[in-house]
Amino acid sequence: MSGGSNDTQPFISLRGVHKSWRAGGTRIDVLRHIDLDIRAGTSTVIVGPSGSGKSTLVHVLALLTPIDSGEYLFNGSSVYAVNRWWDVGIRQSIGIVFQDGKLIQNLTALQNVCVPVSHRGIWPRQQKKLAKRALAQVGLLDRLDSYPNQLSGGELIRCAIARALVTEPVLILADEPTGTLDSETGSTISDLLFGVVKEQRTLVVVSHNPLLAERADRVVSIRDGILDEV
Amino acid sequence: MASPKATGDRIAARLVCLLSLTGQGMWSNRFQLSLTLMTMAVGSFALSLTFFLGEGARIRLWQDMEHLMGDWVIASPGVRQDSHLLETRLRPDFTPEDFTFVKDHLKDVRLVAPMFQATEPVTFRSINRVMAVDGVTVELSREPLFLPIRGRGFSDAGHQGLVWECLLTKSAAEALAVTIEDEPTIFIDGRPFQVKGVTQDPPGADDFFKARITVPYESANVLWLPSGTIGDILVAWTNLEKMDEVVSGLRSSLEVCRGPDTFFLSSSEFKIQKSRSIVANFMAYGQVEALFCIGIAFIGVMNVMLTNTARRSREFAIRISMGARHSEILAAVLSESFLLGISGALIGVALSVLLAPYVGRLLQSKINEVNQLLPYYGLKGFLYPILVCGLAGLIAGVIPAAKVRRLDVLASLRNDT
Repeated sequence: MSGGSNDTQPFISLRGVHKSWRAGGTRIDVLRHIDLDIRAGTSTVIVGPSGSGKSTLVHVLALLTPIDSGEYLFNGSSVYAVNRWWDVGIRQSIGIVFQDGKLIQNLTALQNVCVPVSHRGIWPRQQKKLAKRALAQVGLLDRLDSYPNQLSGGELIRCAIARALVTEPVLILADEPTGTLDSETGSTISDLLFGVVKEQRTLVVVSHNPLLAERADRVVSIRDGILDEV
Repeated sequence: MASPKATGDRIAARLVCLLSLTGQGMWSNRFQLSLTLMTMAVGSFALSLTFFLGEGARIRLWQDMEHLMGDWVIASPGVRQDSHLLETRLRPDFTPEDFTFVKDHLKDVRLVAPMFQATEPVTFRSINRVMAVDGVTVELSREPLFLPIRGRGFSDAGHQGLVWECLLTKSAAEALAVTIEDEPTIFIDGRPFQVKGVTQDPPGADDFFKARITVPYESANVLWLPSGTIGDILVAWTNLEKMDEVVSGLRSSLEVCRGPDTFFLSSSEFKIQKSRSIVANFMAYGQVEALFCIGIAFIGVMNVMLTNTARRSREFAIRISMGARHSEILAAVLSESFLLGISGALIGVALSVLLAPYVGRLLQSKINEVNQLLPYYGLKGFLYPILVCGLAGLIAGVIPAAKVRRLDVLASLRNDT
């Protein structure tokens, strides 16, 4: 899939996106008619207090949950055609970095990084080659055979970044990648995200970290499900 | 558009990855799976063993049967050797017309032949066929004239019966002053013969011999026939598997030409049925037990797969968020449970092949009709357990797979355990 080099057309476009959860009998509106355009090759940091809907927005962008109403255009195409919100083709062109890495505990770092490519019809040998390259990009070549419980917090996130990079996605979504890290490690992760990761990719980061916000092309704020440009 | 070679390559790579995912799942839960595997192996072992030994017993019984009687059966006129019926022993036997009818209506037979009896009726002093009554009650120095010979169609038990039971002619009974109701025993050459009844004097026998005739019980039917009549019809066929058809055809044609219950198919048929019944019972019990074991294994597989999928829900959610299709995860779960079933089956079959001879030795002492219970390694014994266990494994994976299909990705991602 193209990275969306058309300058006039946003790479990602949300139009009137509404999303709510049901907790018991109560409906909670998490995203309220959000309009958001993200251009290809840019970096966007989404900031906001806890419970404001940041992570839900990332999950919507990652196609991990359907929206109630509105439209999601990915590279100009609507991804919410009837019953197709889980479209694997689009999801496979998105890389996700979760807050705590979310590595699979019984797999080594190398095997974890292989996971995204293992579902794309690539032979295991090629998978390992790609995974090693991605791990080299984040400086984890020496931890190939380490299990997640043998990795530090920073290494976990770096491994998760490598996993997001391994398929060479056009869009990287990161949900609080430095949320659980000390400032020094957070700085390393920030360098990675805005260095290796950012290259020729569109980056969307949800974070409280001002360091990340400073380095982003654009910062948007979300509060009570409503988006504001900062 | 991708070339067919590239598409094939991708499919092959996907299959390898599917197996890898399945293998990872099995390895991550190997201890619990091993126990479940054992339960499936026990079921497969029982099923496989049932077929190996059941088939072995069946073949052995056929061999015994063939040795005993050959591949033939005798249709006899409907007269049982019962003292109350002896008066009717002179009834007409199979007529030449009956014989022709039977011959014309039997298929798959090698031979339909009449057994002509009494070609030398007892009308003269034939020491080959009569026994002097005046020597009965004393120890004789010579062999009894009617000691039956062992022949085709006579079992050991039958042979014993022929030796130790006899009939007396009416004149002989009178000469000996024997009261039949008391079932007296007479001694011939030191052997006790129980008198089972009295039969008419043979037609044409002279007065001297009428009073001197003792007849081995089973032979009365043969000796008292008019000269040249067809005593029995001998039917033979080439293929043992055709026995049912031949016997059934013989029975139906005899029913047409002679009427129901007017004939008797030789005891070999009963013997065959009894033997078949023993083997069928053995097979039925074995299969029920095996299916019971497989049923328990089925529940075990489903249980372990449900636990496994619940435990791996976070992993599945991560994989889905990384681009895996639900169908891939579903296929991995199904193939895991299927492989569990197949692996159990293979272990069970292998054990069965190894242990069947020893189990056969243990069992043969329990089955009177089988002298030696050797396993027969037929295709059924290999295929059925694999099919049944594989299918059981696959079905056991359906509910866990359905749960995976409805996996809430976000909820599972939040679950950090």
